[in-house]
Amino acid sequence: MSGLDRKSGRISLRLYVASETAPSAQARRQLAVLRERLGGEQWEVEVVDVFEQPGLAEADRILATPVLVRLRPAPRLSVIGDFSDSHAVAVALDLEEELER
Amino acid sequence: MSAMQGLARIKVGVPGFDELVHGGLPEGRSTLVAGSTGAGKTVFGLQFLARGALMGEPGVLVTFAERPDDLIANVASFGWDLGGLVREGRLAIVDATPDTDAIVSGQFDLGGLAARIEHALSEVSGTRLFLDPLDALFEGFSDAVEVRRAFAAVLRALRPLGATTLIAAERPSEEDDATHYSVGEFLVDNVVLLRNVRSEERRRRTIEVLKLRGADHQKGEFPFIIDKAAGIEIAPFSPIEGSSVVSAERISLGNAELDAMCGGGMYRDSLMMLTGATGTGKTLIGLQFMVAGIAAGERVLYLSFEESRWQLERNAAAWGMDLKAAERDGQLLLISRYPARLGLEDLLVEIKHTVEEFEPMRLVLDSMTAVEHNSPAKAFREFSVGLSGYLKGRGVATMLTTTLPDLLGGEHATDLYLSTIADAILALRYFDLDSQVRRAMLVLKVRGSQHASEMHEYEILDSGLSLVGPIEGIGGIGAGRAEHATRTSNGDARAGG
Repeated sequence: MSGLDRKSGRISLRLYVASETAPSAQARRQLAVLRERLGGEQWEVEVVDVFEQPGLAEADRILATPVLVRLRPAPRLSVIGDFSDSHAVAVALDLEEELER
Repeated sequence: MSAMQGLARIKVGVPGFDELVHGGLPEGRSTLVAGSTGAGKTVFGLQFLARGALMGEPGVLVTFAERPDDLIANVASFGWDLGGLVREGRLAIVDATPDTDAIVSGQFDLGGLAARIEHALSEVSGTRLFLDPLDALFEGFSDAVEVRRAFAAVLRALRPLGATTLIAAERPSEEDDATHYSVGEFLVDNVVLLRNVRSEERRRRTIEVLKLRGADHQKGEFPFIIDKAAGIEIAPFSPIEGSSVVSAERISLGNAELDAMCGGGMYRDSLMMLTGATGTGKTLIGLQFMVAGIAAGERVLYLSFEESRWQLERNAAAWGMDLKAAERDGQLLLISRYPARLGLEDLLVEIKHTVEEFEPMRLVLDSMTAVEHNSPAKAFREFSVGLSGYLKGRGVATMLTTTLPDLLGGEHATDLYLSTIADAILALRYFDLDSQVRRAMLVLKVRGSQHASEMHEYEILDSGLSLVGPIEGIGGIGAGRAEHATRTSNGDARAGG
């Protein structure tokens, strides 16, 4: 377990949301579920509202929201949508693999 | 309707376009600019932004396909320094090229796009917005229905910001009115179509306002050019209602007898057409018209499309007219060239530029037949309507000539067509009577005034054109088959002249 904690600390995610739209709210919930399921308490997770921090959205060239971006480890990966299938998200961002490594 | 006509308008900055939509695009509304690849959509939109920025109306460019640096480089030749405008805070660019590697899982919206556009608009206090091209946004996502819904939401979110918006979108073909993803039609207030078709070996660009919500606009296609140095320019067209103030002022044609035949000269803002076979004196009448203008202190633009400058100067000198002196004095601008090499849209725009710079009160174009040569019929019609409307709108007294192929009269399709745009028509004819080839003229129409209705014989002398008198008792001249109905009273006296 401690090994997992150490590994999970290497993961940095940023979730871009658009205020309180339904998909954005759903994405926040799904991310919480995912963290719990995968034991990602150590993940660095930042939630950014594009309307509050448009400069950050500009720098990351964000179009669609919600979008979950894996900032670390490289390469940078992203999943767009409300993560209705959290397993798919985990796979897409290689989160499980990172955890098992 | 009348309330809508009161909408504030935004000058697009594309010469000729604002007239098409009666003063500009309604402020704060959205317009779809649809066209096939290479139709000029991007140029149109960037011109809207660049000219707007220079007029004190900053804007935002949202690019979905090309990287900003490429776009900036591509339009630098038009004299638009987009990079400079960005540095001066008069333009902001949102690089919205989609990240094609992103995976989509579940529902999404385009909140990031909306937030960035909002941010950019507020950064530069933008009132103009151009999104180019929307198709690339769709291609970035697999679900077109979802993108359409999401994009509609972006437009709704932006609407309160009040920016006048252009959205470029592809049309799959020139025949199809719809765009690829039916993106804009239902979301936008206005639709503008740009076409680029090959017509009789020439590329022909046209623009058409398909829809302008709540406001009137000119119907139909209008030719335009993309000038390498200035961007899009729409060829001049008939002035809109209300601008055609009919002048009551009469001006001299440079020949008292001719003036009398036409009921006292021609109206200041009218267009006269001279039609006749070669050698009937069209150029002479044109030169006399020019000289009369110069004598009245007016500037005259003379477009010689058949004769070289040298030929014209020599002929004019033979009638005692000094063209070089008139040019030196700045009263005459003589342009001699063969128009065939230019597209008619280019020629029209060039004439317009020349008229705007030189500001002539009179214009002679000799001849329309040379303009028509090798041109598609449709393009020639548009040229004729465009030229006459433009010149009348500016109040330039205009004389056009057409050359009939048949020496002894007969009608010509060009004449039939041009006669509808001419306010006055003077037909010059040869006739062959008693083994003598003689000349006669007939005033076919003078809009809004009385004119002589009989055929007049005339002569071309060293001193110029001289009327002999009305011809009585001879029929068939117009058809080239003159014959005596009864013997003319003074025919013998004229025989030697």
